[in-house]
Amino acid sequence: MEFYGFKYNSSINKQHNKVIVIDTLTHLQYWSVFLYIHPLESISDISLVGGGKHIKPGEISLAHYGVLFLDEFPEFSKDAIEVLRQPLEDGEICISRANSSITYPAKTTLICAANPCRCGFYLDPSRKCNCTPKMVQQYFGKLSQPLLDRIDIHAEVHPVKYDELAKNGEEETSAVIRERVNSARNIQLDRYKGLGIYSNSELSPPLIKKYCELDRFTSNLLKRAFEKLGLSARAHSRILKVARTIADMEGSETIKSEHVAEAIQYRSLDRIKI
Amino acid sequence: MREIEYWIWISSLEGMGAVKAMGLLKMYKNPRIVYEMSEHELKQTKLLTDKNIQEILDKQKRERVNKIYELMIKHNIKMINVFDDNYPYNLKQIYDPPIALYYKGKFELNDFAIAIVGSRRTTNYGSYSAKKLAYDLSLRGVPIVSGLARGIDSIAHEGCLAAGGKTIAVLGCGLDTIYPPENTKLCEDIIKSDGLVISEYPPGMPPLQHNFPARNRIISGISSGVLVVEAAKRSGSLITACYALEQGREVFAIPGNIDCAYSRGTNQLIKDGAKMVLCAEDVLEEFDYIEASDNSEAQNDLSKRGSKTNFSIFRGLSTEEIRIAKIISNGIHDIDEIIDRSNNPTKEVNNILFMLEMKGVITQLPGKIFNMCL
Repeated sequence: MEFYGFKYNSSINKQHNKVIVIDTLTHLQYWSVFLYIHPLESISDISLVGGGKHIKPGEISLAHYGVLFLDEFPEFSKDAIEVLRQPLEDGEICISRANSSITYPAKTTLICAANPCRCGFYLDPSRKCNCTPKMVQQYFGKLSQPLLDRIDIHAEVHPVKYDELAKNGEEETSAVIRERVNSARNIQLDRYKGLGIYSNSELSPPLIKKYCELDRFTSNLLKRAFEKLGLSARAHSRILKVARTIADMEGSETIKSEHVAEAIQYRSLDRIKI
Repeated sequence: MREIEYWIWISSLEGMGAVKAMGLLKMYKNPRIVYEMSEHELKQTKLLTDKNIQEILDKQKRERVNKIYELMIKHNIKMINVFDDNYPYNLKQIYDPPIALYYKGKFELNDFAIAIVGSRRTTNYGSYSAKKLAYDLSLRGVPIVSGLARGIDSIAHEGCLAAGGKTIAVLGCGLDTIYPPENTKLCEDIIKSDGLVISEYPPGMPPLQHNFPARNRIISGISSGVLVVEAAKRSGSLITACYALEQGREVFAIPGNIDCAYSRGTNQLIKDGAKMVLCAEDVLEEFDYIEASDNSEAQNDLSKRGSKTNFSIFRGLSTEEIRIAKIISNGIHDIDEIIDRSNNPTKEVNNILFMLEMKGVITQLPGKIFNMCL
């Protein structure tokens, strides 16, 4: 698959598994591994989204069409977390300074990991959490609701017991899963041919209406879920896009009620009220 | 000065404990007499240390009474003193009853009340059982006493309000401020529903750390029994249980998993002889409590709920949904265990759980824990 970001002031080319960003204004070049970027918690907001005296693209632009992994997400500075809102929504980041204004592409798969609290044992029944309720609330309160709304999938992961580590079960291997993901990707590439987009996540509201149609039972279910769980309007299009992807993974042409149900299950952080 | 201002004055002396103040009042019957006594006369009582006497004669403390009185009027706080006929009989019997109680709401304390206490940090199991027992007890007309703290205390108050019962909150600070602040709304709800918020501290007293253990003696003092829902090994709720034993009240505890850190205190209580509580009847059978006769409606609701758990709750569900709902109602709450137990693919179980939630049969809690709806 090849992706291009040529409509921007700066361009990104894929060469030998590296990305070269050539800034057309300053003629500076930057290199980065294309697929995966993993900055530390101490990163500043400027180096995450780009900027500086001589404007440079940030990590989020270097991970364009790749993966940006932020481990221990609430440990990042408040500014660095909140500045992600615009690129996550628009797929690009516009940096304006006195001497120039540049728009960098930033269509990245953002993956964040977080502990439930500072000590890491909140909601763990076997170990006692040392945090006060206020501390737990402060820790997760650092992630604002508008930001969480822009993250498609929230999954809660439980501590793994030793028995499960040692078990030689019939788990799916990553190779099998990769095949499934690739076939879903190919379905999406075929479907969006000529539209200038490559995946479900890039669907604009009119396209969502066209490609994410629900039957009456399913839309009723979604409506009931919204009333019951108090989801935000922003979550609506996210749920539809994720449901579309789940349907693609199964090779289903239409979105069925179970796909929507699964997509809603992935919004667990919307319901945590500590 | 009005009579009430003398009472405010004597109850606002931080350095003098409830026992000494009570001793003085037993001698002189009226705080006004104490107020007007000279240093020499105070020394002759032989109850007080030099520090106490200095505090009694302190001018600043006498001048601030007026301010406290204004605060009381501003926040609609009333006061009842220890010689008042309405002063709760149970509380008067303890070793160190507060000489004055500040309160908001309707002062109508029955002889019978149950305190529900527990730790501030709770598990889903703890909050579920606190809510359930508070709800069931108040449906039977039992007032619930607790401390308005975070965690189990707030949940017990909420459970009682949900059943339309009377609940009494005992605070560890002046009633002009509500601590913790997020419970301000809950406090208003309690007053609105004919409940009561009380404190032995005059308005203006901040929530100091040492106020809370002292507050616990009032919680157990005005109740006939104390139910500890969840407590760690060292916990404030265990202090309340200790007070309850000293005051001759019944102590109840809800059992938990033996390896759960949050249930270590309650399990230890049961081991030491506290009564294990599995349902509301376990609490009530210890007392000659006759259920209020005017709550037949609540009784109907209760018996309806009893039958509901048996079959009508499953009405309109598919067989698979009933199977999963039964697994949860049998006490398996964790998603991994539900999947293990059901032998269905993860995806399918997730969908069924979601459908059950939408149908209002179960609720999902943080950490992918599922509970039956109350």
